[in-house]
Amino acid sequence: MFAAVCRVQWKASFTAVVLLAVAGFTVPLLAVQRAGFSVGDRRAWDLVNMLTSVETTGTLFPVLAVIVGLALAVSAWSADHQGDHVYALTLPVPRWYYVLLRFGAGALLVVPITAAVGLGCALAIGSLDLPVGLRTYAMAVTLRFTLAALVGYALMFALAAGSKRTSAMVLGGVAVMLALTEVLAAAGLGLLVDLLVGRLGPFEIFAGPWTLIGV
Amino acid sequence: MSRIRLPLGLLLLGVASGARAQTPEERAWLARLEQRAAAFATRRERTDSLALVHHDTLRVGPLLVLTDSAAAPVLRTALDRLRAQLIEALGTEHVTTLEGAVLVVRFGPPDPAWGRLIAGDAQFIQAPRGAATPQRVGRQLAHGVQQILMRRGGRSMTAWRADLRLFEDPTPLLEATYIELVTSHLPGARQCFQGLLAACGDALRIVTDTGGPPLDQAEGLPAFVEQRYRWRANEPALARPYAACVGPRDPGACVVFLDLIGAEVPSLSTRARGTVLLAARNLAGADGVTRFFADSAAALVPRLEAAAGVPLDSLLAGWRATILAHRPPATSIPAGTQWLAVASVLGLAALATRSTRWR
Repeated sequence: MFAAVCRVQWKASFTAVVLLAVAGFTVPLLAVQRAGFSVGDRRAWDLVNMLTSVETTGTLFPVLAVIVGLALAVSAWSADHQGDHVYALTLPVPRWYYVLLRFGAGALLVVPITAAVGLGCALAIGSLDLPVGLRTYAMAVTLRFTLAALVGYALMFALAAGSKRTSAMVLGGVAVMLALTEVLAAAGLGLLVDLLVGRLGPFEIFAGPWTLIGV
Repeated sequence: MSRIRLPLGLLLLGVASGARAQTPEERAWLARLEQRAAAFATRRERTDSLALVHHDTLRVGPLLVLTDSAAAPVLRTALDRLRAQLIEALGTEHVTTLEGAVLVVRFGPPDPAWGRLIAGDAQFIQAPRGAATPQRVGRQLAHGVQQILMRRGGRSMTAWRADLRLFEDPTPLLEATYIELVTSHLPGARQCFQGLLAACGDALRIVTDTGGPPLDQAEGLPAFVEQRYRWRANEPALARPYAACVGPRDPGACVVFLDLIGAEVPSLSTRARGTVLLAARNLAGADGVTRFFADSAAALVPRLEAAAGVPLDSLLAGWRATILAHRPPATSIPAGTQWLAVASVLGLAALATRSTRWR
């Protein structure tokens, strides 16, 4: 049954997965190219600015991870939402089991995207002749991206599994919180944000660092 | 406030307070302040200034501390800490290095009269009145002592422009210097990183503190000028000097160009230069710092050698080894963060199975 669910979900998500894989493959190459690591006389490199640029471009990784989570979670539930869950309710399996099948199939689709990110990182790093003393973090960034994409996917999947009202309330709440981060901080509620993405928060993985090259 | 007078021997090691300064020099210093205060124009200024002159004083070893709030427990605790820091950072010989030094600590609101009164004769510290903690005031006192030392560093120290951080935890400073050494655009810094000690001296401006271009950096100087100051080539007065530097790749012309625009020949930062003295202290102990300040009229290299107790090459080798040993650890995802992410995924999946849509 899992294979069947995977097949259906693959068909529904194919385009999104391909597009996101291309994006994931491009980000590391873009980071290295934008910083100027692959061009010019190495003696004239301004490494401080170049490393800062790599770090800045690296912030695209968590954004991409959230988009991956959103796209896969929405497509995982789209067929059921369209059919008002009638098909799912007629299946001779417990509901929790069916939800886990959907969840597993969607999570599996994260793999090709993270593989593309890993390949992009390896290619970006492999194409460089870096000065002695610098370190590369292709594996660390790929692993962090994988975990962030899975967390993002799980969050969106849980939201999409709820009623429309619940999803709207949670997503609206998060959006308001992000928009009012400064206000919340001033009101002493910055702690709430820290609890979510700070040390030991459930979304700490998004906090980075996301740099491909460092000291 | 207690007005205990301690014998001079105890004063050298502890914090003590008294109604007047102890030595004739200090008495003369206070008399000079009194004269200055009397010459102030307004009565208010005179009154405020004399309040400082006649206030009780504290002592930390050789340091005389004047304050408007000598009884404050915060200041006493901070001074106790400073005493320990002085011995740790400068050794027991610091008494001679700081002889006659005066710190003025004001807890009250800022008063310009005080600044005018001490006018360069003492280090002035404005402590925060409400938010004063022993740690914070202690940091200010240590910074004040550092400024006194920098002023007593002599001409060679002024020309070197090293930023001394003798009382701080050296680890972040040494890590920052490692990063600077690795990421520097200076060819000298890169060669130093790869083990060429003469290049370390150049990059730290120890060997060539006369203002001339360091030989090992000469090759990279035109590239540096081109990269940083290309935008100034359009200025009529600078076009020709810029072309003379960048065109034929002439380092001498580049120095002329940098002089014209008021820029320095590139080298490692003043903070990085200050770590050389930390390395000397590592090699010779805290008394090495006192030896460095003992002969402020001497040239930089002999002073550094005296501080470290070894020739310059050995000092630079020690400095380089210290810096390389402080490479910041590689960035990794802590195991806790990874497990937390997995737990979040499982928790959210479990939440999804409990959705209200199914009940």
